[in-house]
Amino acid sequence: MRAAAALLAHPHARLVLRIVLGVVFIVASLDKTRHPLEFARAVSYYHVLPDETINVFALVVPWVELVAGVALVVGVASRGAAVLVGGLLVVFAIALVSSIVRGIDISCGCFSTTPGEGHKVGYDLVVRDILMIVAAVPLVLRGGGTLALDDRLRARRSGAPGGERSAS
Amino acid sequence: MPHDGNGLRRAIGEGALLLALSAVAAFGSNALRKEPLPLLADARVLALEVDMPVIYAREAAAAFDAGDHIFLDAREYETYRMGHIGGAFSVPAEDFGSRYETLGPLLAGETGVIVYGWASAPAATERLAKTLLSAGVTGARFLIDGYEGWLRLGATAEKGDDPTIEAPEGIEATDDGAAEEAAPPEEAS
Repeated sequence: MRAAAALLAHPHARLVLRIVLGVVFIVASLDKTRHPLEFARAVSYYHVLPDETINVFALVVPWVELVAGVALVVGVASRGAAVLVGGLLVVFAIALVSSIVRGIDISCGCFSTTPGEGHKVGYDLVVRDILMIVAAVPLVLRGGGTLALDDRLRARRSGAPGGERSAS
Repeated sequence: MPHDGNGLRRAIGEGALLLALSAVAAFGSNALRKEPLPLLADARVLALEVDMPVIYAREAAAAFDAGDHIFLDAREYETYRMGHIGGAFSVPAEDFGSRYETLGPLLAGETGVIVYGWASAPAATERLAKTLLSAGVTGARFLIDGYEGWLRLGATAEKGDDPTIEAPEGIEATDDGAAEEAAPPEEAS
């Protein structure tokens, strides 16, 4: 367990984690930012949010996915982006589990808003979600790792050469 | 994994900044859209692909209690048999032609008509609604929160066959075709 945590905390591992998470979130956001109405409808099927909040949620969440995804890929505000991504994943996990427990048979609306194209809600999606939460944790705690722009910006500000430990 | 409270606070600060940026982009891009998504309107109504007035389960339950409406279930017959609004007729859109002999006189009368299906799979109900409109049935309404909304009310549900249909091949009819009371729906809280 300790060895796995140390491995995930390695700067190179964090580079991989943030690129993978970032790309997943960018891809997930593309269809939804373009079709907020369809995404709002998909969200309504979960019966988790009060009706009045659904459209605002459906408008803002895909943009959070896109902005946080891009931030992770380039490594700017990596820890903040990982906080947002982790928070979203927790919200998604709650929505998934609650709809499974209540026996609601729906498409998840995760990557596509087109009815019938989406993945059916099930525990495999919860597992995928939890794996991504695990991937976000080292990024929240330790930052973006190798090649993160964060470190270069910080290094430039403090006048020291680049490197993730240089500014701390 | 070692970490410090200050760093975590900064991470949350960064997250808040990114969230604010996302919100600006979201509302900004929506405002620039040809048809902006209204913040409060029901997305299911806006996305409906048929020009039919809608009704919510709560109002439909009142119509059900008054007994002056007929309910048409647009889902597949097998799904209908597993549970439907009490007294509803099973009318998947493709079967409308063959059901017209039975239902035509009812639909032509003064009785209100409510079409429903799964709210989360509205295409089937939309097909039936379009079929009704093209058959000249006016005054029908679309149950926008669907059978799910009906179940959440804890309203009457039945299971079993539609007594006005001969059981399709391969489906065994239930006792004398009478609908039996369904178990309390799981979704009702």
